[in-house]
Amino acid sequence: MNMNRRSALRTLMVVTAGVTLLPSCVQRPRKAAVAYKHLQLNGEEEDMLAAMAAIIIPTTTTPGAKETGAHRFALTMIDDCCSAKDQEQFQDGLHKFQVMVKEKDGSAFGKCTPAQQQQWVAALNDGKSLPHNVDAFYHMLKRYTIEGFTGSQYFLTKVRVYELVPSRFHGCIAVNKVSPSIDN
Amino acid sequence: MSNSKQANTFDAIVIGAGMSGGWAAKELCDKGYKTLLLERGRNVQHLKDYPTTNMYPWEFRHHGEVPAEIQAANPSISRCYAYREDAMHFFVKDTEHPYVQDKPFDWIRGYQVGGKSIMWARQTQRWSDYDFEGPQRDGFAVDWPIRYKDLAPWYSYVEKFVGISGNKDGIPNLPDGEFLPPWELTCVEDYFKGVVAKNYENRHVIYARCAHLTKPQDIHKEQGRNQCQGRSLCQRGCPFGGYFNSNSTTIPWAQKTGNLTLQPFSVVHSIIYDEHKGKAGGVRVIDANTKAVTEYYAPVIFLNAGALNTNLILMHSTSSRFPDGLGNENGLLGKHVAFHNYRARISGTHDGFKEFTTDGRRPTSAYVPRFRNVFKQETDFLRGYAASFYSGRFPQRDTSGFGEALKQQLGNATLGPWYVSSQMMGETIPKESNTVSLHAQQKDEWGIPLLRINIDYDDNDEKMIRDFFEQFKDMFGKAGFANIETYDSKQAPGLDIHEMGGVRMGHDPKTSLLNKWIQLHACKNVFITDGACMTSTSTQNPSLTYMALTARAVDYAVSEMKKGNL
Repeated sequence: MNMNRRSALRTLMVVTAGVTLLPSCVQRPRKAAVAYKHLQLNGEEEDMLAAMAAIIIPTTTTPGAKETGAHRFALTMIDDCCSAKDQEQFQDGLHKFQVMVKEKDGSAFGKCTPAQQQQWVAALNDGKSLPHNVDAFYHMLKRYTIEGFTGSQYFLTKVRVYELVPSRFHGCIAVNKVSPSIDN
Repeated sequence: MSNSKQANTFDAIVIGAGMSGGWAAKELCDKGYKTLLLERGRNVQHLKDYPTTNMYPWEFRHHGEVPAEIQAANPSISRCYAYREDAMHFFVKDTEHPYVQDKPFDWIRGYQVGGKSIMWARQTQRWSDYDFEGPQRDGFAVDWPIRYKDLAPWYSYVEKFVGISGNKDGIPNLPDGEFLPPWELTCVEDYFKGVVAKNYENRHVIYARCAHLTKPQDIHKEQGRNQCQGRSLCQRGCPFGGYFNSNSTTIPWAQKTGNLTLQPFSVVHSIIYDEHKGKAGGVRVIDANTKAVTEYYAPVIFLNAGALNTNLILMHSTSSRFPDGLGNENGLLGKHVAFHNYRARISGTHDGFKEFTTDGRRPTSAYVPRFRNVFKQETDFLRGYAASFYSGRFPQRDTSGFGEALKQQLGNATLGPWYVSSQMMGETIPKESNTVSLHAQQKDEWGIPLLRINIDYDDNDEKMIRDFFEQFKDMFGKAGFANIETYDSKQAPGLDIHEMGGVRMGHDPKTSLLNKWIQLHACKNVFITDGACMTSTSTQNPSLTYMALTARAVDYAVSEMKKGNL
């Protein structure tokens, strides 16, 4: 076996080892909990969106986005009911936002402190000097999180009551005679 | 007669189990006739087949919205206001039953027992002689062979059975009927009514009459229906039977007589013309699932397939006597199709009545009967328009910010100002150039030619839209409404869901296809009492008139059968 062959073999072994070792060095992204038709999300991104939704509508002494599943509703709507163009904007904005977070805080959104996470949502909500599509991404998430929350069973039975069978119509009634908790 | 022929022979056949077909079947069965009711779609039984009727908003995966992919694949049906997640299963998707649009036409269909009567908007205004005399006075279409007096008793007959909520308003061009109590108008509707009465002659704002049981009578209790609970979820089918549809009312009534054979999944290929007898002998039917062909026979046939499909069936019913379609001796079949012009809307806000609001829900609105060109011609366009008038206050939510503040805001909706809006409902002039016809090559999966639709607006319609905007801006202005905005949806014909004509009634077989009893001039045992028979369109919603025309036609058909004339 000449040296050339030996070194070539070594190189090959190193390369092979590199190929086989690579997956254990770089973590394979965790799969999303939900199978989406159009959106490409991994488990981390799902968690990030859930955390953002929980900051937009937090859990207090009463349920928030988390307990009402508003973030899941938001992703269902973006996946099923938004146009392909909106979905692309959402996806692109989401990616750019992740890059922003990494660049500034040196870690993923999920690894940021609660205070940092709050600051990020505040910055998005503020909407000043955000990269292209990040604003659109945030507002899609916010809009559908709000829809999910205000359309949830909790909200429509405990906050503003939706009546399936109102059994009445008053065409002209004093505002103070109508229950403020009823959503006509 | 062979056994199978005997088994397939009835006293009457009704094609189509929708609004008017349900009435034909009910009337025939009530009079003791063994009736076969054919429906191309599936059966929908009252209560049992309303899968979404008791669902809460959060139980819908998309809270009511139709997914984008379905909308993209089905653009026409997706434009229909009622095509939402809660009722989409009652509508035909574009992809399921294609048709050919020579010009844009949104054909809104419901292929099932009950047809579109399940999802209709339930508006039931009578027509008057200002409608029936219109073509003759204004020189378009042909003279209607009937007048209001011919139909008035049948309006009453139908209204008592259906249950119509309304006020007696004493308006000559919108005759009063047999009414159950109305719901209330809102403060702003009442106010607008006063403004209009004070400032204009012959303009009225009234409560829109609708097919709801505000106070069920014995006949309605006998039907098993109950008082309307104001859910305003009617398009799902009503668990109370609070509004009229064929499924809750006419069809079960016909079934109770023991005379009805209801046969879903029956696609009508054609009406068979019996050359020996010189009249229609029966109906050729394709099983929607197996594609097997069966013939059914009866001495009288009611064709109620829905206006455009009725045209299609006649055009496809060819024989050596009628090579261009049954009863089509003058070449006018499929021509003079018309519709309602629903393009124009106006909205605004009202600053008054801040201390008042509405409570509960109401499945109707106010109504402005036609006031243009009623008693005499007064504009540069023919005919006129009616309009809805709606008012209400919507909760307003501050969605700015995030966190606890946002959460608090969402729970504390405040009432917005009174919002007001009107939609125009314009009469259109039937024209020979507005047609439906059979496509020469393309066929559906049952081998039946696709329908080609070639229907458009004209200059009269454009002028009418401009006038609606002018007049309503003036009326809204006099009421002091603010933020007035006008909107022309430019929607294609069809979305009004009031397509009519193609087989019009008239005195003269040379210029019409149906006589005053709504029999084909040239084939007297075929009656056509759906939208296809209409000579002109009026401004009023047509379903009540179809029902009254149907009851009257069955009464006549039965008397003729008894005399041996059919």
